[in-house]
Amino acid sequence: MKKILLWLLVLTMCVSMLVSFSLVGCKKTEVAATTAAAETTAAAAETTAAAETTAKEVSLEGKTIYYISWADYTPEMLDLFKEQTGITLNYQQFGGGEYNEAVRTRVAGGADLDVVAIRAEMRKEFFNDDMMVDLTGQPVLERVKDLSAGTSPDGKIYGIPIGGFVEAVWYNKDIFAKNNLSVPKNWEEFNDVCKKLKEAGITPLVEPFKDVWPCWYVGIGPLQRIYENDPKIVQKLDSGEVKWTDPIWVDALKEVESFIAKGYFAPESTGLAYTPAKQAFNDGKAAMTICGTWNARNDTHGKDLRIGGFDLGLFPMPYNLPGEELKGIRVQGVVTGIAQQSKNKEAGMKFLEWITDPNGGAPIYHNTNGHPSNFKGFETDLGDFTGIIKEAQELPGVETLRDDLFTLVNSSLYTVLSEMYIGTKTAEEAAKALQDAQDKAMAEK
Amino acid sequence: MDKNKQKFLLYLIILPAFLIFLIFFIAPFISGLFISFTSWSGFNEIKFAGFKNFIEFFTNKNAYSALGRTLWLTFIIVIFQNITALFFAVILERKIKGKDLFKVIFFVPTMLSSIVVGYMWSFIFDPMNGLFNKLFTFFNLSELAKINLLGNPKLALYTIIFTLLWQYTGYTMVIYIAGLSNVPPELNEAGYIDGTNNWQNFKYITFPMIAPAVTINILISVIGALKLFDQIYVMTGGGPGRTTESLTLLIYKEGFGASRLGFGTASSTILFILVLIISLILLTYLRRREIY
Repeated sequence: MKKILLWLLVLTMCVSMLVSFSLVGCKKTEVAATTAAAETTAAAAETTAAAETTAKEVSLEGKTIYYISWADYTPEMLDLFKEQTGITLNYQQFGGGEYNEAVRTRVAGGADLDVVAIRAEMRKEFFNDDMMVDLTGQPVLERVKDLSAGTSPDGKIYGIPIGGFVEAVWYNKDIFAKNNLSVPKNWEEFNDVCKKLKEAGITPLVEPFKDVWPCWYVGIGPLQRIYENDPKIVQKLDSGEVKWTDPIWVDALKEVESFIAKGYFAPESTGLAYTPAKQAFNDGKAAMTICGTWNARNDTHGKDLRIGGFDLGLFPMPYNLPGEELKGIRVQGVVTGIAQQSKNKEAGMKFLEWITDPNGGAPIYHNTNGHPSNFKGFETDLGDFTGIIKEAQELPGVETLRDDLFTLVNSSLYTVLSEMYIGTKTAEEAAKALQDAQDKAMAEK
Repeated sequence: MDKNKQKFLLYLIILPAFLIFLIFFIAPFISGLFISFTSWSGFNEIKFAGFKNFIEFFTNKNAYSALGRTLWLTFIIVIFQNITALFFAVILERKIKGKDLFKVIFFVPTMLSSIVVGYMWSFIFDPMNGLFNKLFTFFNLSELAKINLLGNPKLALYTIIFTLLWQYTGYTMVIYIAGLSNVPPELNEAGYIDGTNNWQNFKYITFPMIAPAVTINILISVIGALKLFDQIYVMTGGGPGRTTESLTLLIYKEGFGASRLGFGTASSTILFILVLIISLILLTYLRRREIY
């Protein structure tokens, strides 16, 4: 009897071990299988005659697609999609810092996932044929104004950028007028405005540093300028030609350190999350808040910044030195593509067509999120915000450096800036920590 | 039915539960152990890395700082949670009016989700519009109103500890009350006849008699504090900087945030071993002083 039980135990252990190892090991096989399936699907799609389209649309009815994004949605949006396409949209929204982890977990676990929004810092990891469906040549792309954020370095298009933004400073025009301050056009003038506000007893800036990613704004001026001076800096860092510990970075971080030391940010910032920080600005507790034009939401859906109470203004983030041209620091919109692991790629494509269609989902999506449009023949109604952000949106643009840097060092970038802000890391220590983070990330990849 | 057949039947009955346990607990543990010896991002090819992840844990300043912080947090929680709970238990064991109501009041926070508790205290501690801020402002205590409890690097960890004590003291208290109710009143009475005071009675009679409750409470609070994640994640996310980053939060950030599943899992394995060793030592020590 004991022998039988012993054998039974051994057998069960073996089964459980096999299950565990196969769970780990099957991921690659799955990816390979889905890649092959995707290639077949893509090839089939290319040769499909236009006459078959109607039949296909009929076959998509009753299907469910799984969409993960950080963008907002409403039940009406889901209903409209179902009504117009017959496809059910299972929308999974993750906000804040959890988004990247949520997507990675779903991909690694082989969960149901068809349409996926890709953050800029995820591009390097996701923009390849193993992870995403190549959209190059698809008719839906003709509706999009600017595809650069959805394009990989080898020219393939893996996502459609819905909306496009600029890093900016929202300011209280009443406070500026009362203190005879004019809109700064460069980094020096911006520092001068902050100094005058502080001397007048007014908190110049309030930021949600509790959310960590906004800690980028303590370094935005000096760090973004490096990119402006050397557009290849990220590739150089990536290849090891330039190190974080090189003088170019250490000097910039020292400038960040001295900017922090001036105490222009509200001391409460470290304890404030996103919405309370914007609320503090709305309540007139600080003269400015650095963020982006994504805060421009119309009154119906507005939850960040409020029009009313004081005269609200916006100027593009003046990171440039005097004499240098001020450009709008561009931040990509919600780049949306189809996951390679999708079991319903055609239905996923239908969603992309629908979301870009001015007669389909484009109006309801944009009005929900308040994103300036990136689609031809459609402009988002941002109410009073339209005029406020217009000038910044139309400036000649430069890509934001933060997304590319995040790709190299992951969340360490924001954590290190946060540590610098509270004084637990010097510029030199910060540079070393970033180099360590990059070395580890490279070793893993 | 002969004994062998009866035994076989019993094993057969527990087999489904045993299988579920193996597949959902033992199998993930074994695969986790395997991953901890690899450098795997979750997507790339799995490469065997030997003890690299484990060595890195003890040479990485952030990792051993998180370990030290977790141990310090555990130490404070265990001490204060047990002392406070025992204090309340002793008071509520006496014949006082409304003691049942107080028991309920103290126990209610335990029933709340830790995420809810985290968010609730975050709102209360909001330095600009929180309840504390409004309350102190109302009473013209502007200096107190300005205190940024969750945003101050020196105060944030202790603020989290305060909320944990608020949530879990009631649970510990209930176990102590159960222990105290098992102490025969005659023993205390005999003590009083022999001339002992309240403190001496507690020290020499009550406390040794509730040793089993002390064992279980200390074990529960130690294990709970070592594995703490939810409240820290919600209230500070490990910040400001890394000043409240516990070992579990580091594991999450490295494993998922930085896509370093190998290192994250190795850190989890270290945490598991740590919990196991500390629990075994405590159990051995505390069991010795129990009176039956």
